[in-house]
Amino acid sequence: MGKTLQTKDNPQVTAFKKNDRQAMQEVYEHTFPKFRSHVFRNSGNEAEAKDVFQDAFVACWRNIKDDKFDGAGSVEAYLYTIARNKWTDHLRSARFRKTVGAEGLSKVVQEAGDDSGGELDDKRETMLKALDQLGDACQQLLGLFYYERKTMKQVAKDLGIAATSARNKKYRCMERLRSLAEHITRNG
Amino acid sequence: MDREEAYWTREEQELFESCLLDQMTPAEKAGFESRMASDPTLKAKFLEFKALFGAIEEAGLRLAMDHFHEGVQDDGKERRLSTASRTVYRMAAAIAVLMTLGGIWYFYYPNDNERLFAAYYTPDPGLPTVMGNSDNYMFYEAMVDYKQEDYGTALQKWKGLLPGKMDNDTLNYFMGSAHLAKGEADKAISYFDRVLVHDSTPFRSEAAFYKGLAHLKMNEVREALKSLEHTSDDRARELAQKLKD
Repeated sequence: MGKTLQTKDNPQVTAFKKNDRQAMQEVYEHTFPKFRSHVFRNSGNEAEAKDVFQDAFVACWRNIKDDKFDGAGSVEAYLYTIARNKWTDHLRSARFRKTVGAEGLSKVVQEAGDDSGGELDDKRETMLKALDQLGDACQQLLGLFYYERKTMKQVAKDLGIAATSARNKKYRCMERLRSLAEHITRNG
Repeated sequence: MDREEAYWTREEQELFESCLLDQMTPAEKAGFESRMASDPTLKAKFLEFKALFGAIEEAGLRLAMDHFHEGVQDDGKERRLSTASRTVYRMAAAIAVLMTLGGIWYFYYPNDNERLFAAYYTPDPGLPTVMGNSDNYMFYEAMVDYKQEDYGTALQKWKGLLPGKMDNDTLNYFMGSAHLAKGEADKAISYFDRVLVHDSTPFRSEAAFYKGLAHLKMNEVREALKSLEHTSDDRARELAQKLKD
């Protein structure tokens, strides 16, 4: 009888939690054009729209995983709200110079010192840096298992190795990743 | 003090990932949470694992988003290809339906020129817009409509600007583009012609290409070829070759 849709009843939420590619792509493709129009109307261009939208998409996805989204509305509406707020923040933080060229073509030149891309908190940034320093083989294996949610058998097949070997590698890769993160935290 | 030995045991890693991958039953999860509540070391280890797990997932998502974005990009080549393949799928679906229905004996085949037009045409993506205190406000307001594929509204707004700017190459180019996107090839040609009188306009090659396509849409192959010769675009050369064949 309840009118409120619970998180677990919202199939989009379930799909996001499982990193369901198709569902996430649909939300992305459906929401981006609307957000881009908003950006075009508010002093932005295509590249900025993409950057800000992708940060918003990550934030939305993380909030869903952390159960911060109640699942009462559509994920598209939720994502759009986050993206619009991020655009407002971007406009506040960035200093723009608007110029109109001789041919009537406009350019937006962002002055130096804009830190609109630095929204990752320190810890996340450290983890992402560590991941970046991890070898390609480990990155691929961990991505297949933890992001794409493939079974160990599928991962082993994709990589052309035995399942036991894939399992051992995964274990070692996580340890390696952790020590890289620790090293970055200590030494910057 | 660097640790030589592993931080997590294998069992701990498996326990943590089964929680993060939602593979625990409610009872298992409750048991795990109560263990963490009474064991701060286990909790700390889990939180560290969770942070790294989150980074791996985020990196995967960021990679995937670049693929998602291809579906919405206004970039010529990919869009052109997907338009062409969509046309093929649509035709295949239409034929299948007609065959199933039986009894319906005649159906529409687009001619070669229409097929080529569909394969090579995607509307010009438009210009980046800035809605500042600019004299060009109306122009860019219309550009937003254009980008939203509301070509009629864009044309209406641009028409209002035309009296003082009959020879403005930008305005004429996008009015031509909007007409062509609306399927009004004949009107589009007249605007592209106004662009092509300017020898040094940056829109010259594109205007000639779209003018060629407009002629193709009207089944005027000779005029299409003539126009395509004036462009430096590879697509134009390829299309011209196909028309000659």
